[in-house]
Amino acid sequence: MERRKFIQSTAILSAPLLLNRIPVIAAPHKLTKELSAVANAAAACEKILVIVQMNGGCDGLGTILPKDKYSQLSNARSNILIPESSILSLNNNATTGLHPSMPELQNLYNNGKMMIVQGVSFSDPNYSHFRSSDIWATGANANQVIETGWLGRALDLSYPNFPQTYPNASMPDPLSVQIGSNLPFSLQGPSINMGYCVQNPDDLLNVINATTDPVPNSDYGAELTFLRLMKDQSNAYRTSLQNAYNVPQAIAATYPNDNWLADQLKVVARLINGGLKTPVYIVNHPGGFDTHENQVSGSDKREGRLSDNLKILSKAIGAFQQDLAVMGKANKVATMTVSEFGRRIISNDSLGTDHGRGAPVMFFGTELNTSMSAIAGTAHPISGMIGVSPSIPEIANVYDEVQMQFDFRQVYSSILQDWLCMSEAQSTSVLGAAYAKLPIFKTTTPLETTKFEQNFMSIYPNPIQNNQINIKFRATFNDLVTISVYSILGAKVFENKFKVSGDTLTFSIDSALSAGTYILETISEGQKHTHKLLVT
Amino acid sequence: MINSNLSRRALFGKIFSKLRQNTLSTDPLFEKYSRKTYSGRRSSSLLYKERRSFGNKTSNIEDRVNPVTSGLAPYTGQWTTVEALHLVKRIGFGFKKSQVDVLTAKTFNAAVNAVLNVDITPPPPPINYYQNQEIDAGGIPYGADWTNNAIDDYVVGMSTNVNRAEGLKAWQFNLAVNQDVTIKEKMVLFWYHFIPIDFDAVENSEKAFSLTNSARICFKYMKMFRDNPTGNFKTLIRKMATQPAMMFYLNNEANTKTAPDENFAREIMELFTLGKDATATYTQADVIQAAKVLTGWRVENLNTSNESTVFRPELHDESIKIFSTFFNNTQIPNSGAAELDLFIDMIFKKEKIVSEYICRRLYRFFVYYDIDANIEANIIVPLAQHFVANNWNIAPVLDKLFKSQHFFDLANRGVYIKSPFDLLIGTIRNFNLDMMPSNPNNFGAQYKILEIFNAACFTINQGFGKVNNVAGWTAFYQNPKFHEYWINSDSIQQRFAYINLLFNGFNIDWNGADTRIEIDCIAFVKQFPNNIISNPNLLVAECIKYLLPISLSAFQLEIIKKQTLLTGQTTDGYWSGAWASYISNPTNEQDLSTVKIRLKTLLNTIVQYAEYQLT
Repeated sequence: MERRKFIQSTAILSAPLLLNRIPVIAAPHKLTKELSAVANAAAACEKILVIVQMNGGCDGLGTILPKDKYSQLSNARSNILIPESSILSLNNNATTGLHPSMPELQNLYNNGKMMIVQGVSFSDPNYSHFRSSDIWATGANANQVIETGWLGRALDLSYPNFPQTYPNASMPDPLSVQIGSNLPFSLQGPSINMGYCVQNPDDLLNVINATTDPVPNSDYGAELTFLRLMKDQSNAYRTSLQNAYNVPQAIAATYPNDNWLADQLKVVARLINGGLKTPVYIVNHPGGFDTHENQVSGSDKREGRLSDNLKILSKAIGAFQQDLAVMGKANKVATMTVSEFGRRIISNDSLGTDHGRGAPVMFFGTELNTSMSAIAGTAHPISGMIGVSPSIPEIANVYDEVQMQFDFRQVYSSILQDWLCMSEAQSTSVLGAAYAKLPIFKTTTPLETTKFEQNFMSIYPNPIQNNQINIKFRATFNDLVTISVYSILGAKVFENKFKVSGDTLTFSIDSALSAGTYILETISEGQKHTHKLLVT
Repeated sequence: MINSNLSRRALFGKIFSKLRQNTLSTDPLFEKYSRKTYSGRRSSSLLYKERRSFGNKTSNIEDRVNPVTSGLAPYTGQWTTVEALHLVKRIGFGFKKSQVDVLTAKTFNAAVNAVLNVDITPPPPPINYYQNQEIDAGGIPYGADWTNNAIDDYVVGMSTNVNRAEGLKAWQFNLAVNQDVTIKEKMVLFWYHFIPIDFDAVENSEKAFSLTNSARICFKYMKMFRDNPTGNFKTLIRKMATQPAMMFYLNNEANTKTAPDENFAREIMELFTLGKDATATYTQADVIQAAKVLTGWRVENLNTSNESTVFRPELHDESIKIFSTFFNNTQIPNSGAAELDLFIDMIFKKEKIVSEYICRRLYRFFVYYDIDANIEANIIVPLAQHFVANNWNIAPVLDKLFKSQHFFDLANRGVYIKSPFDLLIGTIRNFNLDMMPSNPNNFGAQYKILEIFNAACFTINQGFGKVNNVAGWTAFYQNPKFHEYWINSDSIQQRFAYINLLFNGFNIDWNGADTRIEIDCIAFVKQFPNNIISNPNLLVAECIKYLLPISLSAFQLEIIKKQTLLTGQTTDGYWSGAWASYISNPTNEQDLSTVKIRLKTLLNTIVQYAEYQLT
């Protein structure tokens, strides 16, 4: 019929566009072959990252103590410094020790299941909690505003089109589970937050067990109950959460009581035990780390607010790791702590510390790169620690800070590539630049042991002149050499491949490097070598 | 994306069949958790007993634990923002803070008078917005009114008519979004759902020229409501009976003495006036007699702008129509066109039944659905008497209801499950969402955006121009669960997802305009005084006061504040400081981003509570 023809020709013009019953409003990613491959790779990766948020700025120096700088610490913060004898020592690490409230973490460290990354921060530090939290969440530069979170972008890349075509056969489970009343900014993707959020473990149990919180005994209460149950029970992920949660666990670890972090991790452990494919979990430490006052107790410096927080952390992580071990999934899970900044070296008069800069990041898990044989001869030769015990001035003043050793995005880059199975290109796309990885995780192909060797090559002159770099190698080559130059913050500023025949290589960098220290990295014959490069 | 081989009707048909499936009784979650069956909440006072539900049928309805005994006596309690919000959210879609402020500055009586004093000036008409996609078959230029332009062809102009009809839906949506503080748009919707036409059905009624002129008569049908939304009900019924769109929708156009068609005759009694509860004991014989009364009316000159419904004596049944004892054995003698008036007079003589039925419909539309014996006796019966005493004028009924103790009774706060329009149009209005393209003359983009929003509402079971059937939307008439029928395991997820989308933002690129649609969280809170915004405790409480029907516990407020405005911190000053930095330097990108992120988290957290689905 004529009429049908007319309708057909106008349908595309005037009918509302609907995709999966959501009007098509943003242009979603095209599900290209390439992206499906990525999604499949991510699903096949089967690694899990658990992030423990420690809000408020954890005092790194009070948590992981530079034992070798005890006298400098005494000068700077005697009113809050714990006795030297009470510091828990770490195997094969004479420089560093732990706060006495963390025996479980000491045990993990001494068994190669904990990694400390020293001095993680960002340049131009910001002492605002909010701004610093946002920088950590987004992966932004200090002076940059980004409206999406680093994990949100990573998940968006790995699971394109979320949420339109999810859950699906290859990803039946939530991309991320967050326990806390709102979805964290780090999970904000380009068009939608990638997280599944439950306010607390009980709420997750409400979903799983089809119960709900009490309401007033009235019409309002009745309608509210109806809506809550309909919402929770119709959630696309309810069945997978319920199924995972209800998988029996033959032996479970004993979690501490009255520990809200442990309560959260216990639920996470059960979901992992049940085979949930969710790659990212975020839990919140219940304590505040913003210890401007009463960081320690006046009567016993080993006690106080920081100690209380560290006990919660240590006991919860200890139980969680044990739980993962008995269920046989410890090798699938890595846990890290995130706090927006560290605290000042010098203490204040309120038995506390003010906002500071660099701080250690802690990793827990069985797949950390802590084996002595793997690290011998590398730039990070201390088992269980990347970077060095922070330097503390003999007499610190109020401006002295724990210096940055690593850009926080180097940590992210390592996680994305060495833990969440993303390629270097993908990591670069998520973080906006290439950041040199840190050897946090065991890598299955230990091809690239970074060697900081003066003997492998030299750069002359150094500082360089006129952006021209001259390298003299100790041996002769006849091979392709990849040269990369990184800023001291880990951002890649140059990369190229050169054919080297003989023992010298001379090349120029197109754009002038600003004054400072850089790392020049060569990769050849499966070996990675680095050398310091100076620009004046 | 859309399959280009799918006609719009087929597309809607597909969606629609899914909606119908979901709506009634096939959803196991709904069956399990509807308040009428779910017993998890009430511990000891579970009392099921058979009793009259004063709607269509009897059913097992759970008794209220605490009976609601308030009546129609004037409300004398406090008149603050909270009460004003309750009023505006029920008589309109959501709220606009500026409009609420105007009401709270008045006395209670003056405020209610103001919301009931509707302006009947006609709004600018729907226009040609589609010219850039397809020229208008009637020669109407871009941006010009088409409502008086008839198309004199059966075929050429069908797609223009489709464009016009779609535009009419978008136009209605836009008027609701831009409603003033009065009850006008909600009343237009009340009449539309109560005496509905389906635009597609009118178009498709296969009457001469309906395929090319249906949009025009649908517009006139809607105009009938819009011209006097709180006027005389009996007059409205008489006007409606011969409206061309209704003639087509319920087939009275085909009602003839040789083959009486009962469709309109039945619905004018059963749905539009008398209802069908236990006291409305008219019979099938009455319907047959009514159909005979209604024979002979025909729409003529639809291909001109002077179409009209005329009485054609040669098609009229000339017998004496004799009605049952329900109508006191009334006889309507053969008297041509005048029989319609006699018939309507006869119906309205059953004044108790008609008035109580309309009052129940109004009550379920504006207050709550559960009409128990107390509410029947204290509200419905006296309100209906007031209706009759005021000679079928609606305004005095609304005045009585919205000034009553009962309407403001705490028992009626927050019990109303938002209709899809309440939810989406309400959210647009609550947050002053700017959804229009920057160029005010880009009509193509304007209408497309409105059309998409109307379609989004339609996917959760309510859209302008489209009704399930002549009874309107299930949620307002279907025993026993009424408003709960808006919710099924599919729609509940969409209801939250759409709102989330408005906070995350998206673009609609159409007709040369790429329009960003995203709620401006900073602008929303800036409606509050600065001393409230800078104090995180006050700000959380203020946002919740406006957005949720009943505040949350102090413990919940504290958690929300900590996890949103304070990013896990416990020091209130961190938020105050961040806000102060932003205010002193509003163009600093970082300061702006810091407060924007936290306000978005706060507001999106609040609207994702199940409480936000209630009003």
